[in-house]
Amino acid sequence: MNDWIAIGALALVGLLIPLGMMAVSFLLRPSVPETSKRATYESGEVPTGGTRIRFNIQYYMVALLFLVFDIETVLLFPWAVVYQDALAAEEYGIVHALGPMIAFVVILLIGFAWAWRTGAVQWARTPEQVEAGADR
Amino acid sequence: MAVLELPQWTALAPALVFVATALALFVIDSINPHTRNRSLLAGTTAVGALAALGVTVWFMLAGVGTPTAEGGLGVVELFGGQFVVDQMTLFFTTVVSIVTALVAVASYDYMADHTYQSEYYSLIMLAATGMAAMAAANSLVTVFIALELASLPSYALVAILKDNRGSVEAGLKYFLIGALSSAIFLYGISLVYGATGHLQLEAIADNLDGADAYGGLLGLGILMLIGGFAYKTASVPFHFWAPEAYEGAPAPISAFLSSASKAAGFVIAFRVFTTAFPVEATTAVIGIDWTTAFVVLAIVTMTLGNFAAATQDNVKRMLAYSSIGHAGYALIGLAGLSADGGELVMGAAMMHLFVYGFMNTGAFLFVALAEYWGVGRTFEDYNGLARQAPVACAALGIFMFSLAGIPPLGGFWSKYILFTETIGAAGTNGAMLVVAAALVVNSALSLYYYSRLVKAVWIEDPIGERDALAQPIGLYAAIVVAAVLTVVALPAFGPIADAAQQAAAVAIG
Repeated sequence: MNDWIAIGALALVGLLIPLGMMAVSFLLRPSVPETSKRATYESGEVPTGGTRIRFNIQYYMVALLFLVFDIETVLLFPWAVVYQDALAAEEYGIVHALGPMIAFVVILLIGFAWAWRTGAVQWARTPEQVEAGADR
Repeated sequence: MAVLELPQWTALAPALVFVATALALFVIDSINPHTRNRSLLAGTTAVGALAALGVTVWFMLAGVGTPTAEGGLGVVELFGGQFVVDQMTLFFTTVVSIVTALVAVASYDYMADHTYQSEYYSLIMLAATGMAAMAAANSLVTVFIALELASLPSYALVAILKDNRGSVEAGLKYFLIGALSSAIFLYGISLVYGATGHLQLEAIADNLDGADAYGGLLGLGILMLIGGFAYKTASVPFHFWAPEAYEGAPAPISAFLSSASKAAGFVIAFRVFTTAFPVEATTAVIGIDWTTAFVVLAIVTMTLGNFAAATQDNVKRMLAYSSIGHAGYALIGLAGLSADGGELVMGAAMMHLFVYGFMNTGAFLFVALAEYWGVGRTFEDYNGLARQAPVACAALGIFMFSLAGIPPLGGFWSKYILFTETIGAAGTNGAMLVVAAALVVNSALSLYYYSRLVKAVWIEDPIGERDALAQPIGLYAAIVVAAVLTVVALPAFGPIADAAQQAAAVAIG
């Protein structure tokens, strides 16, 4: 039997289950038309304001810093996995195995220290505080 | 000179010096946040750039990158051929580091009352790192990463005058076009990878014959790569960001982008096309000689750049279009590769980029000086400046006549050699005659608008009364040094020409 038949059957079942559930609930449910059902949030929350909200710049700062450390983890993880083998291997010493990663982390730490010191992780400031450190 | 005892990775020292300087600037700003100590910041930047220059020149003299057959220490390949340090790398790193040093010194005055000092200088250093890495990149991956490393700081630098509408608009346009062309470039890389199965440049060249079945894909990929290079070098069809970005950006950044960034764009174009796509082997696979594309692009770029420059009233825009025109001249280096003596044409193009690095940086720095004085932007506003600032205006005359190619200045010799080599290559490729004719016609046209600026500065009477003009030390020093280098390039032309020709020969060889 061709393997694709099993995959096709799975896709068919995956499609039938939600369709079947919707069909069954359509047959069983009582019909109670009501205006509040057409609100954006059925919980009763009344939406206010426009949809174009300006996020505080802090949001992007934190997101960027998070991204940097996220990427760092992605690089650290495979390095940690092969680290013992690299130490044991003849052609790589501790300098080759550890050195580049230390250099990488140091560069990252300098950048992070700079971001911290220049206020990238400081919480949003009041207008008075902003006024005091006005820039052009 | 004990270069041999150093580990291999130290061959990347110029780029590493740039990185170290950028990190040093971060540390300075971390110790004293938002420091406005301009002497310290600009000084560190200039010292870093000069150190990179020193290391590069030392490597050149010691013979790093020179083939062992010629008595050198051999071309250094790093990380499995992802990076390569040869004469072309060192040649272009020299251009980048000199321009960076000039820009750093000039920025000391130009950015005097700017709030974000350390950010400005560290971004310059990071962009310079990217450009030095571009000079050494030897795989499509490293080429792309280095290109982005040079581009991303540039976007921020163009838009760094946050409250200046022109600067922010220029930054946005530059960023959008940059993102578009990066996407096209990346797609081109994926097509080349799909056709040949390799990203390392020599490996691509070795596997070209295996790509017979995918000739169309490979051709499309190469076309898209050309798009990416055209963006970085500000050539047609991705040239239209240049006038906007150069006009809106702080003038030292315009100098930086139009000289160093353009040279770095050309080094990757030269390396990718000479190493990965040898003309005959590639023509056999894709059916078209790719130098044809560069013949067309060179003619269109130089003509469009010069004709547009001739119609400008704004000095900075005129220089921006003239910089597009010069990109057209340098593209001849790639257009001539299919002919015999193609390496001579490419060497001449590299020479022209070298001289252009000084004279164009100097010209933009003069605009920076004029903006510092606040005299205005058009030719008329520059009228009669020579009466108040003869030294700077004499330097401007040198830059303009050198850009136009008037003997005996450096710009004349590089254009002359480019012209004679192009004519020499015309023996086997008739299209080169058209290119050579376009070069002469465009140079003659360019004399009109370059001399118009010199005339405004030296001969015309000022429109109105002007206050006494200040003499900012940093800007003056940078302009004078650029002028001296443009003049000194003349007696030093022999070694420069030799270096360029050897580098081109090795790259093609």
